[in-house]
Parts: sequence; structure tokens; C-alpha cells
Amino acid sequence: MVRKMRCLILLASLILLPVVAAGSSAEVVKVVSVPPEPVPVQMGGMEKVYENVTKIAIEPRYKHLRLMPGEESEFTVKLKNPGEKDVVIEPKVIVFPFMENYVDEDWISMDREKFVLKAGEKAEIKIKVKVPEDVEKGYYSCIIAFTNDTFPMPYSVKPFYVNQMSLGVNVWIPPKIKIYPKFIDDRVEAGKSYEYKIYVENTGDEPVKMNPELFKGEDVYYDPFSPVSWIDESHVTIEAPSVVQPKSKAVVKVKVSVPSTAKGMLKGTVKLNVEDPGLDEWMQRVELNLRAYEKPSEPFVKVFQVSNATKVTVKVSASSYGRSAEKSCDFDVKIFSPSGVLSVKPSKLVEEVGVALSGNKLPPWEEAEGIYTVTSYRKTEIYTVENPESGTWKVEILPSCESFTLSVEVE
Amino acid sequence: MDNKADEKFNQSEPNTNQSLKSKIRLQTAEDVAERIRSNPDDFLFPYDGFNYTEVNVSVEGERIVVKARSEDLPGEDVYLFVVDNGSLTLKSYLLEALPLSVKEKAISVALSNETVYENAERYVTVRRVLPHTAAKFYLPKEVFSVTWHGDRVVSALVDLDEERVVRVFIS
Repeated sequence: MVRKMRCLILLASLILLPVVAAGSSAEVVKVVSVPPEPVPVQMGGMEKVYENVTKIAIEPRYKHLRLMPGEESEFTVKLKNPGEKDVVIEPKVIVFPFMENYVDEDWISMDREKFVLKAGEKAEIKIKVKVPEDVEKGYYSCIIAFTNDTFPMPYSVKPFYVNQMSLGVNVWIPPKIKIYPKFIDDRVEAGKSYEYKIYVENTGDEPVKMNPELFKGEDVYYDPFSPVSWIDESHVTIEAPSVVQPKSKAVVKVKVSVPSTAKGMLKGTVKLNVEDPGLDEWMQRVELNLRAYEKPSEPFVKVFQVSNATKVTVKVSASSYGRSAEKSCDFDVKIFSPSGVLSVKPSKLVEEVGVALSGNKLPPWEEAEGIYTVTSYRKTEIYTVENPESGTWKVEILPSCESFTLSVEVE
Repeated sequence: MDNKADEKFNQSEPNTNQSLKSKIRLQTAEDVAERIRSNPDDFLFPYDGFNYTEVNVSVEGERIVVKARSEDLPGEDVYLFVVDNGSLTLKSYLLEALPLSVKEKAISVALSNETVYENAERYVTVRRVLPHTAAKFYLPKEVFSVTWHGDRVVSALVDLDEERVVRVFIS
């Protein structure tokens, strides 16, 4: 198996917490190793914790495999003893009784058992993972410890094995059904209707049944700055075939009527209920995130006077923030001279994109130096009228954005 | 076996504050870029259980910018590698390709912190923090940075396994 650069990145002074697998629950039938009793620990820094412990270099520290029931895979773990003392290597599989799904010791075989890794020397252990045929689909994990050194962690009953790696196995069944898109984000106007399409492709040789429905969650949403609510099923119509034929694509149409009183974020989940054993329930969900806004019915009006001027310049700008900023910046502009509405188009269009290059704009743990991130968008339309008629003029602006600025120059 | 990869393992080197260095003996940034295009799994770190379905690699002098997406995830992961005197370094990264459920959980945990709750405003991002970075602030494991970008930047470093905020940053 090709060595991975990521292994080096995890090389020095790494200790990983065991990965607790998600997925279907499994009955705990066997504990391979009983963890030591947790001991209260003073937070004295990592150096103090490692004082009497010999750390070895282990590559990789994480190993993630995706295997079908009955499949196997082999990988090599490299060990290096950088210290001045010999270390007894005794690889063993560790699970904790409260792990939901764990890799059983029987799944794993290694080509080496107990041996001494002398100071300054390296060694390799080949590890084979074979998933039994009768294992259910899901995420399974365990720790492989190479020495018996441990230390307890504050706030957790799980001790750390100092010299360990994490092994995760995603037991899967290749799905026959492909679903696109999985996420539908849109900015919608209150009182209007929208139709979205979800494509369901059957790559298999057998027809697959499906029964899409709107799922109404019970979660309380987190955003205190903008109202967030579930889309009610009375506002949604779903049209879809009940069967997706083999080697074909079906279309699920989701029609949403946005209530006239809707504000903030409207959330919804379409569960496709496809009978494909390769797809977990959560894989069949399509998330709807609709940002509702109410377009004002009356424009903003600015009246100004022109007297013996050579030029009138009207400038309208709107800004927005975040990655989808560009979508939420728009407005309609009408300019009225004393004679009536002018048929005038912008003489200039300016788009400004705010880009951050990290540094002091980001927290220290976001090491994004040199990477461009779009943080804002600003659109400006400039209308110029030469030799304007003297009298009372008017500008009307009907925005589709939350705020805008207007400037009028009379020269 | 790849002797270049052997060499990278043989030399132990302390982490710098800015980067992790590999001693892979490489010729140029173009060579590396080609290797990344051919074997993205060897260089990139998609969120657990997912694979990238679209990887774009561009070379800008000695910088290699990789933008990767998964059809099953919203968002994009960006990696910035630098080739310097034959060494390849992952200089920076911005990993935003995450399941919505993970983002929501991370935001929920972040807002359970009183300081964050009282100061967060404007739009929020959720980004993965890789173990080598997290080790400098907490523990060497994957955690999440939940950041609000307003007049001030307010950020929480979140351990989702423990469901708690482990560090807070306010600019």
C-alpha cells in the first residue's frame, strides 16, 4: 500500500483519542483489554506527563479502511525508537466497553507479536484486517497499542495509551443509488413558490422502490441572530415515481410555497426512503436551507433638485457577507427627471469582492495563511445623465438586499 | 517501495509553528503537483469516511494550491503546499467540506460557551483543524474551529468527541 504523506504529518508527539464509531449499534460481547482505573491528573503540561514514558514514532497514527463484509486489507505500520532505551513492543487491540461499534480482535492479525525495539532502531509490523461475512454495515473502531504505557486524561475515563494508533473500519455495501444534490441552498422571497429537482440514479440491475417525504425535525435551532424554523409540510409538495428503474435516473420535484410571513432561515429535510441496503438513512436525506426575505412593495424614494447642471450622477451600492454574498446583492433603480421616467442604464458597474488572507483576521488555530477566503461582496451601479433638465428629480430603488447606499451628485 | 517516502520517515524533525516538513526528495513544484493529481489520497485529508470527487491542483511559483470537493459534502477544502529546497510543506489549509450535521453540532457546542454566545455576530464558518495544529492549543486530534466573522472575529475551538469548547479567541 502506498505510504501516505499524512502519516508523517502525524508523526511527532501525537497521541490520539480513540475514535468512537457512529452507525448502527452492536451488542458488546467481548472486551479484549480492561483499561486502567482513571486517576485524577494535575494539568501540568505535556512534558510532565511524558516524563517517565518512552515514546516511539508510529506511522501511521490513523488508519481508516473501507471494506465490505468478507473483504480484507493489509497495511504496514512503521515503528521507530528515537530514545536511548530499548522498548518492549507488544502490539494488541484495545477496545473500551462503552464503544458503540468496535473492531473485534478476531478481525485483526499481525505478523509480529512481542519483541524488543532497540534504541535508535526501526521496525515494521504488517497488520491484516478481515471483516467477517456476517458483520452489519457501520463504522467500527479500535486502538492498537504498541506498548503498555498509559496515562489518564482529565475529563475523561478513557486513558491514553502513549504509543498507539487508531484504526477505523467503515463496513459498507456499495450503494446502487446515487442522489444529487444533497443540499439545496437558496434565497427565497416570502409569498413566492419555488421548485427544486433532486435526481435519483439507479446504477444497479434491479428496480428500486422509493417513497420521498418531507421530514420535520424536532431539533431546536442554534442561531440567535436570525429566526430559524422548519418548513411545514403544508407548504411542500413532492412529486416522484415510486420506482427507479435499473440504469436510469428519476426526478423528484420538490415544490415549496414560501409563506408570506416567512422570515429568516427555513429548514427542511427530504427523506427519499430508497430501498437500497447500501444507503444509510442519513445518506438519503436532502437538506433544504432557504433564506427567506420579504421584498418591499414600495421603493425607497430620494428627491433632489437640479438647477443649470451639466451632469447628474446617481450611485447605488449594496453589500453582503459570507460565501454566498453575491447572490443576495441586487436592486432595481428608476430615475425620474421633471419630464418623467428616464430610460437609462448604468454607465458603470463595479463589483468588489472582500478577500481575507488570514493573519490577524483569523484565530491562531486556523492556519490559512496564503489562502484566499471571500468574506464580502459589494455591487455598485453608477448612472450618469449629461446636461440634465432643471427641476425636481427623483430616484426610486427597490432592493432585494438587506441594505444599500445611495449617493446623488449634481455638477 | 518508494525510497523518497522512506527518507521522509527516517529523519525526525520537530514541528515548526508554521508547518510540517517532509523530507521527500522532489524536483519541482510541478513534479509534486503531478503527484498530487495522480494520488490525491496520499496528500489530502478529506473528512472521515468521505472521498474527494473533484481535485484541482494549480502551481504558483513554488506554491501548490489544491482545491478539493466531495459530491456528498457542501463546501470546499483548500490546501496550500510549498516546495522549498526539495522539501514539501503543508503550509496552510482551509477545510470547510463537512456534513451539515457536523457543522450544526459544532456551532451548537460553540454557542454553549457563554463568552462565545455573547460576542458572536455576523456570519459563521466551521472548519476542521488537523491534529498537528490542534496539538499547539489543545491535543493532537482533529477538532473544529467555529468562527464568527463580524467587526470582531470570535472563534471557538470545539472538541466534538467531548462536546465542549476547549479554547476561545476574540480579536
